[in-house]
Amino acid sequence: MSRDLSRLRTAGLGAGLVVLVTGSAALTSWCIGVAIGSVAGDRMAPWILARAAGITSYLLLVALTLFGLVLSHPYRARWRRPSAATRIRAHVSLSVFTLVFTVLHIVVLATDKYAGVGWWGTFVPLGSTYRPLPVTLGVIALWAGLAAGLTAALAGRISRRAWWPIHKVAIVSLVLVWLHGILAGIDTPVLLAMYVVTGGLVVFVAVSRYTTSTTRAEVAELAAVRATQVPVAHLAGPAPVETARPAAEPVSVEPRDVRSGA
Amino acid sequence: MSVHLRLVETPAVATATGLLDGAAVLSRRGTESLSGVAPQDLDAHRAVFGVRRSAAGDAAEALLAAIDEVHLTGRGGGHFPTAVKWRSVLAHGLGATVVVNGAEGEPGSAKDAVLLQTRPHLVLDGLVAAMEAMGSTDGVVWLHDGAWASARSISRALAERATAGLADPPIRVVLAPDRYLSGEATGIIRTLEGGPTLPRFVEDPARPWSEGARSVLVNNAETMARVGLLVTGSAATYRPTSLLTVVSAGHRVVLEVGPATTLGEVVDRAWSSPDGRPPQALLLGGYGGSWVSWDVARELHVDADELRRHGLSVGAGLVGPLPATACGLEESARLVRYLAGQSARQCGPCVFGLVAVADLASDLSAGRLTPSGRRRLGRFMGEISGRGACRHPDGALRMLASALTVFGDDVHRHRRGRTCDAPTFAVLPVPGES
Amino acid sequence: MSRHAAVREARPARPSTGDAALRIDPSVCDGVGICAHLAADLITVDSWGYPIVRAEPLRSGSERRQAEAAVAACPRKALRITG
Repeated sequence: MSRDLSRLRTAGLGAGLVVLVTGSAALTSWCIGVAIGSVAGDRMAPWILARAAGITSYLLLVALTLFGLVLSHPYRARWRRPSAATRIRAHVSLSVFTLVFTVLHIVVLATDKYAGVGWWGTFVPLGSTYRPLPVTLGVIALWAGLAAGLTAALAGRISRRAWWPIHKVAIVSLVLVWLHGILAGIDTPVLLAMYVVTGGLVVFVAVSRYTTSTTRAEVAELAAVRATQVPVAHLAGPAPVETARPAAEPVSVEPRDVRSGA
Repeated sequence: MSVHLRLVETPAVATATGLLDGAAVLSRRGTESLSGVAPQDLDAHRAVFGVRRSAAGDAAEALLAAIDEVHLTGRGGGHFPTAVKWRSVLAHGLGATVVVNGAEGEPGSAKDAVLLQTRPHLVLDGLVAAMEAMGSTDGVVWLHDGAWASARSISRALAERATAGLADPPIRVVLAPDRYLSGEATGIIRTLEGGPTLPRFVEDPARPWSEGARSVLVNNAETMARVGLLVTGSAATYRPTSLLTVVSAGHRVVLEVGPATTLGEVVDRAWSSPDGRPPQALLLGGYGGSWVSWDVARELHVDADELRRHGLSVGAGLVGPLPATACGLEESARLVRYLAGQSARQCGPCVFGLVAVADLASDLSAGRLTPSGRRRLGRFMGEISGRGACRHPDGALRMLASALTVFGDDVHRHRRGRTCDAPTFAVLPVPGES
Repeated sequence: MSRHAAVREARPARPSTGDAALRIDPSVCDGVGICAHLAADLITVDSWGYPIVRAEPLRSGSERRQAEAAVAACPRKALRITG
């Protein structure tokens, strides 16, 4: 009983921490937005800030995904640096930073009257009046990313083992974010080039990660060579078989229940 | 090839106290070409060793007492007390499957093959006695694929016993994949439970079979032959000898020695030096054993207690002398490479760690190990140790660690980029090498 | 039915009933790494990303909770608390 309680408390602490980080990021971004708006008096300032936060968040997500792919890559043992421990830490830290910049991106857009997105458009698919399709892709990506991150953060407590399959489909989040960026975030060739290069890099690593044979496949190969039971009478025959293996088809070894037969 | 060697200290006439009455000579690799010792049929076996007494019912306790009295230990390499193992299987009730393990994984070792091919009835007497003691109705002779001479010998002996009207419980011959780890006991048990022939992690070493599965007793062929000695003779006539396989450049010799024999005498009698000089060191136990310098080894007796005091074990009985003209580091790097390749690929520390260690050992052997590589080698060896499901990586590391000590002078020279340029290499046989 | 003296005499061999400890089956582990993140006081990772589990028993409630989280989260079910 008390163990369940303490587990709940730990989960609560974890959730609280996430809320705290997200909340403070939201507050900070809102303050920055207001400050920039009042000082510069430029109504484009929040827009630029949101764009910058969005691009930063995208790049962090790319790094986060790359670290994730490297963490589980069959060749990971060949890369000495960064060390395995650093890779895990970097993956976790990047997830937090990605979240922070995503929140900044969202809050500034949601509070910017001129952007035409609003709070409704930020969290609900097709709820935006401004470019509904690209924004919706971003919204779904947000939920997918949150699902991947939160289930992993709460792994063993609330999501137990469910985090792992969810984590594996988390790459969908990056695909959606990429489309979101391509459809709504390209106004210079430099940005287009960035999306193409980073996207290509992730695709390359992901393909090599999922097409490279794993050690599990090697174990399966070894396991496929089975022990065989040799018919005694065949080997014991009068004509000695000197070099060749016996012609009889070996029978597979199954545990016999001799007790039932005895 | 028909070099006939007499035993170091056994009388010329076969007695019921030792396992072999001569030394067996085999080719450098494989176990199919044996000369020197003739196979023994049932009549000859009974004339030499006597008729087997039953170990069923209350006689089981008498047999266990005899096993205890002679301090019989597992000759597959682990040297775990046989009586303790039997009792821990019996603690789970009667009806265990009893396996005699003759799948010698050690490429250099051939002692079990020699026993199976020359003393099949002694091994089978031991197996049948173990089955009776365990209340077993399922006996398994576990060999590796390709060991046709052993399989034939055992099958003929089984047929002979059936013809002679011996009331043996059912025994089957099973051929395991021809791999280094096929003789690993947890892999044998896993196979008998319907799984693959790969080692597995066992939480409780006293119960290596799965929860709810039938209990299994696995004993090495030499161990079983020694049980055979106890049920045909007695603890009083039993002699605590060891079977050794001595590896030379062109052939191997399997011989039986007593605890009064030194490793120096073993090498003198059974090893052919390629250059007339004594070896510089011996690999003792197996490829997962330890190197011992010749100066130390020549005085050591083939006695478990004495060897243990030196941190050594006769292991699976392999004695691999390293000629004075060979490089111990080169040889060890070669063996670590082989062992890394023989991993069952299941545990990360073994799959990745052993290969990394093998790479660094090769660098050292080639005289190109950098200072950072040296640090990594030390760190990796520490990280891998004790972390596999089976002892495979630990054995490889033990062998390499002993090489770094025994061939310490060579290590210094190699570090400075000066290799041994040894004219003799590939001393110990490795499957797949030409 | 006492046909075996040996059976009567043999005592059941039990695993040591010491304190609870975290144990890993290395043959099942794929080095996912979540356990090292959830149970940082008990698990470090080796040079290849595979967990090195501390052999000593669990000493505190916090260690116990970490161990339980790692056991529950491991996608390969490679971890267990024994004892």
